[in-house]
Amino acid sequence: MFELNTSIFTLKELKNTDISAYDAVYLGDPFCRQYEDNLSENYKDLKSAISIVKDKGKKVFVSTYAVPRNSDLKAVEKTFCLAAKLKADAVEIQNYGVLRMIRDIIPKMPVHAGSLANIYTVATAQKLKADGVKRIKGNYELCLDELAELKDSSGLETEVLLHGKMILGISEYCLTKKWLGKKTGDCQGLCRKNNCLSSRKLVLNNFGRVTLSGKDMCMIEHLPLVLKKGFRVFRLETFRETRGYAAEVGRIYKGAIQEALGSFKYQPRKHLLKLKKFSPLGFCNGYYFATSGQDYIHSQK
Amino acid sequence: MVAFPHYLFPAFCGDFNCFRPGQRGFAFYIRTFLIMPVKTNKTKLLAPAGSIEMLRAVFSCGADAAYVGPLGWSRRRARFELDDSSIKEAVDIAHTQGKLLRTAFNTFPASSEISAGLKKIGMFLKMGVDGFIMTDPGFISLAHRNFPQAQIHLSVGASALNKEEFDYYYKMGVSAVAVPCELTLKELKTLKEKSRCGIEILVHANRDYTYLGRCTMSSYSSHTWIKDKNNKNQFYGSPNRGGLCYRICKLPWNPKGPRQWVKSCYPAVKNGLGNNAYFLFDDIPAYLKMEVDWLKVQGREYSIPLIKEIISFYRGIMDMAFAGGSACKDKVMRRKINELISWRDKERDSMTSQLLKEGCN
Repeated sequence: MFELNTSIFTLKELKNTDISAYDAVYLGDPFCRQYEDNLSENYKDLKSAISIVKDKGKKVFVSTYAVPRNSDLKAVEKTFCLAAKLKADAVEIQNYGVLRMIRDIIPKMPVHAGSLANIYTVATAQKLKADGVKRIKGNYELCLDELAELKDSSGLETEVLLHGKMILGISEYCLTKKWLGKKTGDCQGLCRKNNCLSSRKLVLNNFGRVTLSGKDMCMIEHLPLVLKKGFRVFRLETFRETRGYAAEVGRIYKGAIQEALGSFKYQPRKHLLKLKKFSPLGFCNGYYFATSGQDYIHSQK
Repeated sequence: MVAFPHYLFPAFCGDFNCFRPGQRGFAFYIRTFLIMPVKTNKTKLLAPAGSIEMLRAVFSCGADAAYVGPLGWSRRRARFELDDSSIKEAVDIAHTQGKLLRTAFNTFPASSEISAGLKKIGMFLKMGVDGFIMTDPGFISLAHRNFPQAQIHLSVGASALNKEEFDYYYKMGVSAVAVPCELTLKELKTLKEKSRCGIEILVHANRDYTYLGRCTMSSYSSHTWIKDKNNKNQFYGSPNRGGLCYRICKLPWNPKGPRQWVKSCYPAVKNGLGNNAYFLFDDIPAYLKMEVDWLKVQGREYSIPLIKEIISFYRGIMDMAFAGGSACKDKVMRRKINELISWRDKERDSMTSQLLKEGCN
């Protein structure tokens, strides 16, 4: 009836996370190839991780590197070939070069296009459908109405982010390493810690090569609207969060979606209060209501 | 073909600024005159035109082509874009001088606007526009299907990073790609050898700490979506969608987190996260040797005198290189670029202050 998914970057995180609330998991860090034990790069771990997720009766998707240069293409090819061999349910791409490679090498592999693929228009969604893409995630800058238009006009599964940090930018280099004065080698896992940068009213979570929103996107109050628009594939971004975040936030949303689908008297307040303790920097709705990404609008009801 | 170098006879080309004291030394003119530049190289110089005046100026300084933004469709403010009748005038000016004119549809438009965009492309083709700078894959695909004769150049906002991606866009109808400034000379050589797309190098542009087109930090801070008087969607704060980037990353930042992390990034973050304009200089001979298709100067928003100087400067470097000389070893040229950097930075800093004021209030 609906799919709730999240992303997990390492085997260790997978083993330490209760994923019972989720129907599917994206494996691997698409932002940094050097991220320690990144499942997209550690093929032995990827094999174990796929098998763990499948044994739990969940769908498993494998993420590929978002910004590959020529020198990265061989490693990316190895990742998606292994994903196909291990019978992952789909491969997620953010780069059209990778899409082209998959179509050439494993034409039947289902492909999902992620938020960094810059899908802004129905025309692009239709082009991707013609290229064999099965699922899309519109750019974060699209509002809910535009995402619904993408879904309805293209006929593609359209995933929406319901909760968690939004990706605001991806860099060529790791800022953490740059600041530490390291060109290569160990970055001491500092990007796994809770680093943030603030300026005036703005807070960013800076995690090395990827910059995330400080606030958590939170759509718990607006679930009935999201469901009314026909969305049924939902992402909760839980990577690099504190232990327990993925499990608890997943449980809250799973219950809330079931409640919103089954009852006319959906009561989001209790869910919102529970979620607040996981988001010290506050909530936002992203661009879903055509506002600034960091704004939060309460439900009218 | 023997060139008529504008920088040897600047007054003939209306370039009186070239005579300003300290701008160019006498030795430069003598040296260049003795070399007698001959254009044999296929690389062309593409200049910005934020107005008809800027268009005339860049052509007078030796640009081979210029690009303009149709009102509401490019990544600049309306005052640096041209309405349809001005674009017709721009085409006529360009073609009278044997130059080329491109229009920039380099945003990700709203889905509902694609058909209007296609109509505009059809109209501009009839006017004689020589090429289109585009970003959105779906829009590109439809433009190529409807107008297979249109020359489509991929905007740097698409951030095409590898040979496979170049091929993906080539099959969609793209004939040249503006490459992200992060790519190295070695990567460009590979792309030149292995891709069927032409290559466009941005010799003067902005470089952010994120990949261009892969950043929504500005609209995260401030974003307003309105329909203007022409019923065109405007997404203020979103550079990807045609609004301006508020350059939020240039704010001074305060780090919070583990002590070692805070210690490492402070005080660097006090000066922002990294967003600077650059001029390419030392690598230009290598690009020309590689026969990249275009050297492009960004800057529709800068003053006309500054853009004139920048175009003259690059025309000079290119012609010197075509003649077998190297501007990189030329002290006058090196001094000149330092002057241009400080002039440009002064104008950019003033724009940045204004943008930050808009984006943070």
